Amino acid sequence: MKILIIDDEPQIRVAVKTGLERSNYTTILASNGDDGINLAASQNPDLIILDIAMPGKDGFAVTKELRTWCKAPILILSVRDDENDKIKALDLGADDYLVKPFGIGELLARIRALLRRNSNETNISSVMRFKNLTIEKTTRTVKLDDELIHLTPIEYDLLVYMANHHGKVLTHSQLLTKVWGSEFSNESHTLRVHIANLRTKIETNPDKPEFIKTETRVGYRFMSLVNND
Amino acid sequence: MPYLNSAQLKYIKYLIACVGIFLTTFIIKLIHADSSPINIPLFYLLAVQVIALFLGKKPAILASFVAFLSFDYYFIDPKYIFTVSNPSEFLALCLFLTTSIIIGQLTAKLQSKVQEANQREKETLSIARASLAIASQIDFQKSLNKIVEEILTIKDIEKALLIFKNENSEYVGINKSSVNINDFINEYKDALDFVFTNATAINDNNSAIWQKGLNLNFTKTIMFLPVATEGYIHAVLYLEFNDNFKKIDFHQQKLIDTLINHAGIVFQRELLSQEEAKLKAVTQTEKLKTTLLHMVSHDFKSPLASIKTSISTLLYENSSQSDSPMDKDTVNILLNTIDSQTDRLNKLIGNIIDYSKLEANLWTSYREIIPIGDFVSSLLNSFNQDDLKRIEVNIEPNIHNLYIDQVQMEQAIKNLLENALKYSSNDKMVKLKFCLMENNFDIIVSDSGPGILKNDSKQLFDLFYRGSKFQESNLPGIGMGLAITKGLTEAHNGTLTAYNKADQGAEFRLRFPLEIHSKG
Repeated sequence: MKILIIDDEPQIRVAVKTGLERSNYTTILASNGDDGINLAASQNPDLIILDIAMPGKDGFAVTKELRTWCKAPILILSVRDDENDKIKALDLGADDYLVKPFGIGELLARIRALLRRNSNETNISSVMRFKNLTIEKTTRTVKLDDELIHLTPIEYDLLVYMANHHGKVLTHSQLLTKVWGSEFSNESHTLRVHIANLRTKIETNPDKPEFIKTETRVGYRFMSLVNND
Repeated sequence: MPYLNSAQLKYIKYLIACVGIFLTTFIIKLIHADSSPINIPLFYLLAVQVIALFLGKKPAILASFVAFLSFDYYFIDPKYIFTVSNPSEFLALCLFLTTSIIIGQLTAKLQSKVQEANQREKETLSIARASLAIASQIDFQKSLNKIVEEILTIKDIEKALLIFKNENSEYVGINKSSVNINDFINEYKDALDFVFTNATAINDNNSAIWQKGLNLNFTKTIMFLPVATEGYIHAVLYLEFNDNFKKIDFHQQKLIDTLINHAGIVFQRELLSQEEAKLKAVTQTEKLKTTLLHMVSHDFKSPLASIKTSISTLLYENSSQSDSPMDKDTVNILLNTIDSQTDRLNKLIGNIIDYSKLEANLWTSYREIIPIGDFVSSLLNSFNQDDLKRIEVNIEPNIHNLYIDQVQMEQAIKNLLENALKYSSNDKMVKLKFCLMENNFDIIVSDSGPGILKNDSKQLFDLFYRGSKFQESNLPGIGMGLAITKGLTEAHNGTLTAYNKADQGAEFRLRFPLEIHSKG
């Protein structure tokens, strides 16, 4: 697996490279946005780790440009704990974000989740299993511990969309646009209500959900491997 | 007679004067008072005197002439014609006219003196009331209100406005008249600017010039008078006079000046108290800076010291060719120290940024309707599995949605939960409760820890305050969490209180108005 690291800080590049190589990933390093884009084109990495705040072309611009032709998952690194930055990067096509400072364990877990989904994505199977939750797309049925649970059509669509993008942070507007339609992109309350309903149906303890995690003010993330991340 | 203008009122007075004399003539005829000729002039003189007393000088003169003519027409031979047959009677008539005019004028003068004295008394009282108001009212707005009320009692003044600048240099006004203050300020902005910058009054001496110069359209007599002390302009007094007003007299001028001076004193006093408050704030900021410096040097340096020592030990070990290499456990302990101390530093920096944002009013709330379940799951997301096992959540079933800034409220409750987890032993549960009551919405975090010491309770929410038991303990923290929670709670119009539970442990209660709960 080949991972491209784009960050202007040499210390971060070295630290991340060391951490990743010890977990048997191959790394390519770029110190600015333009080099990063060139390397992404020539080396075809499986995943890209991208810093937001860089001199010259920043992470937003790089994401935007990469997304015109590159399908590899993008993991954003940011020092600012600012929701608007996260939403902007995700809406531009990034898949996940980590706020600096982060532990290498957390970074590896995010990378694993993103790579796993990307490998499945080409042939999304008609049956998806997450721990005790099973989604059968051909019959549009959802089972929890082999027991059929009743979902409304919109809840089913929402669940399937999130499951198809498991591991990835989906912003409110992404979910609303894809499941409801673009004219609903600002109705985050509608989304919250449906998520709450969905949680009561599929989560053992809706207050401490295992499948659908909230990313405060940003959106939701469907956890692909429960208890294992 | 408020619906008559002054010119109409004048004609009415003359009319009443005439009617009065005709009525007198009628009464004389009715009671046959003319049987003794001496009665007739006395009746008329009495009527003229009454008219002078109530209607003033000029109606009295008219009454004298009408009485003279009526006397001649009705009572002197030949009757019902304006001629006099006896020359001595003509003399008597002339004497009657003269006497009547003199008596009328004297009476009117006496009456106006009495009125003037009453007016003086009223004015003196008015100044006395304004002085008392200033002396007894510390409140700026109330004192000015009182002064404007007193100005409105001055004769012929119809409207009075006191216009001054607020802290944003916008005009605001004390308004006791039926005037839309914003419209007024827009209309007369140039005039106000002029008086403010030049400290010159616009009054009836120079109003014609200003009408042209400032493009003002005066349909009534108006004035803009500066309110100043020691050459500093505090405000502008706007006066509008009624139609009776002709020219400002000495007494009116004196009274207006006195009340303007009173207003000047109120402004001066307000200025001084603002200066005092500023000075206090500066002192407090200085104190805060010193505390901050002390805290930063202590609380930042201790984790840094641990990190530096651990790393240098590892580096030394790595570079030296020692025969007995460090065992894996020791290396692990050092590395874990670095890891945890880095987290501690990161948290400190985060707290300082949060608090600075709150202090500088840069942390604007963005409130949304959030389902309670979504909020709680998001809040608990940041706790690790061990902590989660210790947190017991209790949500009353009638609670549906919260109307909050999710990020801020999560931070507020997270600080309380972290404290509760930190200050109670690892096997004890921490409770988070959401209660919807008749008038309030409460969020309660309680623990079974040592509780709050009595002498800590007052300063508990102060910045950098740590419970006296924990000040020198190795439990991490610099006493910002509760100050931040308090600030965020207040941003949601709530209050934060803490008390000890009857059994054991502390309870922190965030109490909000019901607007925070939304059924929608």
